[in-house]
Amino acid sequence: MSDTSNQPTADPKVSGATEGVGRSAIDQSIRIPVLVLAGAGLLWLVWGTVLALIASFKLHTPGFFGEIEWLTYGRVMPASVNALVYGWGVNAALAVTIWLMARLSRSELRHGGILITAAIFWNAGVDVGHWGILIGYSTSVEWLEMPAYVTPLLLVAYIMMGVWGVLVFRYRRNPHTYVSQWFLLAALFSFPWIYSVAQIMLVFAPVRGTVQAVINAWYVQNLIWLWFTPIGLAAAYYFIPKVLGRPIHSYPQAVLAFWSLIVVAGWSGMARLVGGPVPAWIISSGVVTGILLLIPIVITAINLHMTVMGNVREVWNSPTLRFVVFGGIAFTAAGLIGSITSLRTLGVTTQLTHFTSGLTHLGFYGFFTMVMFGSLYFVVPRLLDKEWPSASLISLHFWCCALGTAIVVGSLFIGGINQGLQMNDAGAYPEFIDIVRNTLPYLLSRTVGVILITLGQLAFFTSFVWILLRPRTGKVTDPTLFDSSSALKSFAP
Amino acid sequence: MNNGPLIFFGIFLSLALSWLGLVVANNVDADFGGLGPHMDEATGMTVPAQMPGLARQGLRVYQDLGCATCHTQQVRREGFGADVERGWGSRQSVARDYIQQSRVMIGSLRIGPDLMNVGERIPLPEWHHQHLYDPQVNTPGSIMPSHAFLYEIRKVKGTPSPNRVPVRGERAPPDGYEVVSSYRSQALVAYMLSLKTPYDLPEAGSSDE
Amino acid sequence: MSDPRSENSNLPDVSDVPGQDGLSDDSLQSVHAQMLREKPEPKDGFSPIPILLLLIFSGLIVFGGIYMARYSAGFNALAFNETVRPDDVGEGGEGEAPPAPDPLVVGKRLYTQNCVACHQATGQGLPGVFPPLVASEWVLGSEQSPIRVVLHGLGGEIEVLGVSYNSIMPAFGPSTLNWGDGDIAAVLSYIRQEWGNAADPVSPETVAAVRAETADRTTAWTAAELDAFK
Repeated sequence: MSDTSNQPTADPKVSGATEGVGRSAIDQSIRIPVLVLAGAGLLWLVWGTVLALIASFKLHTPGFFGEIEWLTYGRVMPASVNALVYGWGVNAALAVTIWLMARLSRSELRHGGILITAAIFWNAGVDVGHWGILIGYSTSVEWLEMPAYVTPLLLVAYIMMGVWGVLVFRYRRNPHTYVSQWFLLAALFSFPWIYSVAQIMLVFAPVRGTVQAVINAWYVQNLIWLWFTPIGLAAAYYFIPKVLGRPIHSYPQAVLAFWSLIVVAGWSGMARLVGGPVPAWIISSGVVTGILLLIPIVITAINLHMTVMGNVREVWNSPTLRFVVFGGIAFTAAGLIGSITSLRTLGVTTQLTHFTSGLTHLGFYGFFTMVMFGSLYFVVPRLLDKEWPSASLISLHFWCCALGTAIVVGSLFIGGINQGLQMNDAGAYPEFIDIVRNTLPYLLSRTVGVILITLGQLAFFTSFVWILLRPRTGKVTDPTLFDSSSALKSFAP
Repeated sequence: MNNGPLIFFGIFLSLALSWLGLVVANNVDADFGGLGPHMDEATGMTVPAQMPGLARQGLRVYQDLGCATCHTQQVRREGFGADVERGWGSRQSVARDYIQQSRVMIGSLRIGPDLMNVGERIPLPEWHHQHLYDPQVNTPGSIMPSHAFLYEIRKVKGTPSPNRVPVRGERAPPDGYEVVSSYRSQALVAYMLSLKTPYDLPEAGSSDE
Repeated sequence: MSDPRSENSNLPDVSDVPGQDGLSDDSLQSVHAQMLREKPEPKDGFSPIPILLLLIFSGLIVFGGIYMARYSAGFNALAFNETVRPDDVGEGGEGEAPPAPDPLVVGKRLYTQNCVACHQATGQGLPGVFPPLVASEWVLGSEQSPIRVVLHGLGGEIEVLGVSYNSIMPAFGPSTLNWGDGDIAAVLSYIRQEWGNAADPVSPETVAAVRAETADRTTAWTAAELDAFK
């Protein structure tokens, strides 16, 4: 392969094919690290969902699987959360981040061995850590339940990848920075800071009293809004215009959305503590910034919506975009609902109920995970130079996951609001056990949703293994679209 | 926005703002992160009291079993929900109530009732042992998992064990056998019994006495 | 292997582009098939932010400012109730004394917090285990025995409404939780008029008198001892 690294690819006179050659070179160089991360992420996704399914069963049928100590709800639930957040979430996020950073910076990978080593360290850490939770060494800090002994390993692994990402950006070849790159930078920079602060002040040298709750809420909110959200948005901002062949609707809006998100997100976590044993001003600051989060949410929704507008057929037909746009809609929904329930008048009902679980599911699964699915549907064929083997499998994946998410979120929202209203009405519901009984149907339907999601993910896993194993043909082929009619043949998936 | 260092600096500043304002400031605040026990002039006692050693071990058992995934330990103030009406506490829980706990587990989801004052509400060790062994007896229809793995069923040899636990219901052992609590369940129950706040604090507002 | 580019006429002709002489057919053949049909990298559009949105966002910021001014309780770390004005915090409520609370309300709260675990919210107890308080002769009779039971506890066999119970009731008096006279009077008054019970309320003075009489007592009562006071 010729050395295309010196081509001035920012030069508009260079044709698309030469750009294509350059991109191809980048993809070839980055293939192994991204595939390793994507594959590891998928394994964690399947395993984490199995654990989540067990947890979901245990909630309404405690005798499910007997009374094995390491499968009690209090252990298997945090284990599934950690497996999904740090196993699937971070692996997928890093796979897509690395690929996007390399592409947008127009640089080929150097020192790929570092990334692969880091990926192995990270996954080893999460593996040991989540087993640690199951056998009884949980720290019982929300979303940080993995025992302290894996933290150094995870930090080292992450720093290796984070520094790589920042360096790729530093030595980028294009003078103009695209929107996605700002979001990726913010994410790469934020994670080690929030993670190490939370680990030091909660696990290694715990602070006194409910400051622990404040730092915990700060960490969880920042993990969602300064790690997972920027990476999901970076992917959406790249893939939607890329696949549609249209420009992003508005650059100034993207700038406003970026800065308002970064400034406000860190404080908004305090609304999680509404009513709690925490000074009132802290909670009020969380309420206010929770409302202010409407700014980036609304702007992003408008920006992406206007980019998509008029191209709904292409969006529906492309696997990548079907997932990514679903994720974008889920982001808007989760953001709007989250902002509004920050207000104390609504928070009093939704706080401490299943509603908050539903909201987390809508954000982490409905938005982030679906966007990652869409991104992987785009990236993996380019890394392997093969097409997805079966559009039906992709369709099965989409429908199972979309319907499953809708059922899970719907059950938890309705069940949670009921639970909250009943909990706050001590006159009509003096016995707590009655409130528990009333939530059971919703917990059952949530299990149904999780079963659907498990099926969809197995379909994706099957597609992934199949595309890995199928032979490469080298011919120019049509992309795997849902409806490959001739009118859309020249269309990149 | 093409200037890398500027973007970087902006991100750093934004994150630094919330870190300083929420994490650092509260930690160094003598009235929050630096809270100490309060001397109650009426009784001459400092509150909250230190947890007894066995209860401290019980906190670790509570932590490793993940009880905080279903139970909260925070009483919300009157007028904000019905926690006080429900009998979960006589007043709002405040930050000072938690300073003696090494791991503060205020919880975030009430799949089960709040436990902040369970030691005051149910001061009976047998009730707690029964509930851990078979929750269905005390609260039929409960979705709390059985923690029978914390207990051992043994044949009675001569005198009953001093750690035997009277259990009722379907899972009670047959005659001639007894259910014996383990160190972990004894510690956990001691922790349950230590969960109470039978004192007033000036910052908590007055209760209705 | 044929040149993939020749199969698809939609592709641009690379050979016309300056600076491409160094690229051979072989190198281009190794380009991914997908690259050849990929659209160009995304670009930025420049639509301005709608003024209406900017106005709404300014409104949100103003709302935020007002909310913080009203509900931050002066940024006092000891203020846990956002509705309280900044100067009312941390002094235990100096000023007018709060109105005297209704003893039945106090009694109900105490009962709910401390007695429901065994005697249940319905006062029915647990059959065979914890005796009921509804229509119980021990509750409705003289207040002398219930006051003693609450002060020092009760153990051993006791017959209530013809059913025998053998459990332990903990003490709430000086040896343990040290309930005041007002509290004991309130909770007893409550159980004596709830669930269809109709007996006279108990006054704090009566409790104080009994407390003084039994000042030396440290152990729980038995039913036999309490028979004298029924």
